[in-house]
Amino acid sequence: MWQVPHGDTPDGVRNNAALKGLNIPKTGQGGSVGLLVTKTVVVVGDPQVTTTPDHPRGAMLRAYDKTTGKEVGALLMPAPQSGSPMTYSVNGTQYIVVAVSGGNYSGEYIAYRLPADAR
Amino acid sequence: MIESKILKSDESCILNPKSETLNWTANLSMATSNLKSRISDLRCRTRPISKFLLFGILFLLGLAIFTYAQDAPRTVWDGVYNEEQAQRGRAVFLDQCSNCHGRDLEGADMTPALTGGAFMANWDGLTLGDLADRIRVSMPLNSPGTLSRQQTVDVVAFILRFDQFPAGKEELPREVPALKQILFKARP
Repeated sequence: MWQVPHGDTPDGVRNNAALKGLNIPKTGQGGSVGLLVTKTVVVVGDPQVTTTPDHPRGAMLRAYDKTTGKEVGALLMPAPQSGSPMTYSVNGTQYIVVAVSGGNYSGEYIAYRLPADAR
Repeated sequence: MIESKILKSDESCILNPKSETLNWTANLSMATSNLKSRISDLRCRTRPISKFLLFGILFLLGLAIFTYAQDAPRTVWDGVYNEEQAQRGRAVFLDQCSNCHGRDLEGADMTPALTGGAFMANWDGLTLGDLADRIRVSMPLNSPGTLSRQQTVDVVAFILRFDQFPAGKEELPREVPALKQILFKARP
């Protein structure tokens, strides 16, 4: 139905001297990461660390529109996703929890929720 | 006549904030001769200048060393381990690490590969001290902390060789501060 590159272009490609001057589109990243599907979106994190002009060293957790593949949200995590995200609800507030680790960042779980004014 | 000369010398010293001690010498000499006052007058004018020059030279020297160190950190491309160390590391790896990470460092479902794009990307810009620390603190998963420091850096050397970073003459040091001076860079 749809197919999109997932993940920023790796630093090793983006900063490669041999590719200087070429306009490299977003390549996505190699890696094996699990994903979470809800009623409306697909949530999945980048498998690799990048440092780009848009964000400091880290990896993005992204949400794609389930019907079109369009990215509808992204936030920076300190390390790449290392397990599948999952979601749960407490007192009417929905959370997404994701395991991250990679490089020198030891494994941990991070739980996200929408800010109060957006719920 | 003598006194007026000494007073003049005192004033020039007072105007110079770095010359209190010389000023004191000039005062002591008041009753003796104008020879001493001339000497102190001379010292009070010349010493602060040479001090300034000395500090200037030291500062420039320090700045040059600092700039050089900033410009040229050692990286994994500079031959930071040797073949013998990598061989020792291979034996430790096959015994302690390969069950999960694979004999070809390819990783598995829940185990990261220690070669390839994701490994390079995740460690790019960090140091070998970070890598050795990570191994020392968290590996092997079933009994962390059981590898000696020597075994840990030997495994690092093996990973570097497997990932085709060049070998050199010296072994990787065991000390974490020294390892932290060696940058992991995915590309030269």
